[in-house]
Amino acid sequence: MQDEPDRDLLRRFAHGDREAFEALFRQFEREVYRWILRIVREPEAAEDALVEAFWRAYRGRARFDPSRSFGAWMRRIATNCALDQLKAMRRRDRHEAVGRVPPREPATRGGPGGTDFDLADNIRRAFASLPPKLQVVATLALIEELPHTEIADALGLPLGTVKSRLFRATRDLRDQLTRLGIQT
Amino acid sequence: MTDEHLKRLLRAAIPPTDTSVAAPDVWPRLSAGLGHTPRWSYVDLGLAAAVAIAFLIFPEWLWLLAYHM
Repeated sequence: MQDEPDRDLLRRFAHGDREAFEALFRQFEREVYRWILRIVREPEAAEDALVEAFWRAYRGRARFDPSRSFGAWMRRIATNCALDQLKAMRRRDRHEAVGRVPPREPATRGGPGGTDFDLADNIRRAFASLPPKLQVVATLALIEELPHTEIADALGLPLGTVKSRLFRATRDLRDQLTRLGIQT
Repeated sequence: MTDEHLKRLLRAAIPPTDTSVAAPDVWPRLSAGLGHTPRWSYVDLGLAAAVAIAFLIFPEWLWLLAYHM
């Protein structure tokens, strides 16, 4: 997490000072963008979510308490925007998938008709079919290997909820991969 | 399949993001949209009115709503 900006800058931001907002944007844009990219995993979608996150921050500035951490507040907003973006991407993919060829199966590594590409492709499909709230937790915990406490903080969830979502995501993923013939 | 094995498969198919990637310059787009405040469309207003009327006619539905909140 970045160094926290000084209290006066935060107070000015909370009162609607555009220059203070720009200074905060410049300080946090990179970190927020990387955070969103970790969740949505598409640069264009991450860019849209980045803009939306700072818009929401600006609109919600009056609710920001300058004595609290701006970075943590911003990360919470960014996570919500990334989740919304993920849902929008899911709707778009579903729309585009109509009439498309169904996934290849089975795809056991080295098995008949199965290649490493098929395997990776099927894993990506299985992962993308997880409900967004499970997918986010699985992405951050299993792929990005972030500590559960950090994930809980970013999502604004109790640690136990993060653990139970991760458990459900892992179970669902394992079931789907088994259905696709990936036992390895 | 163990959790560790599943994790390895996942990370091979979906690699972790590159944390050194530069953020795009979105300030022009961001600042252009700052003055815009989201407004309620006629559809939003119509829906809100329909829901309010429904609750006035059937107040017991509030329990159903409270249950799902």
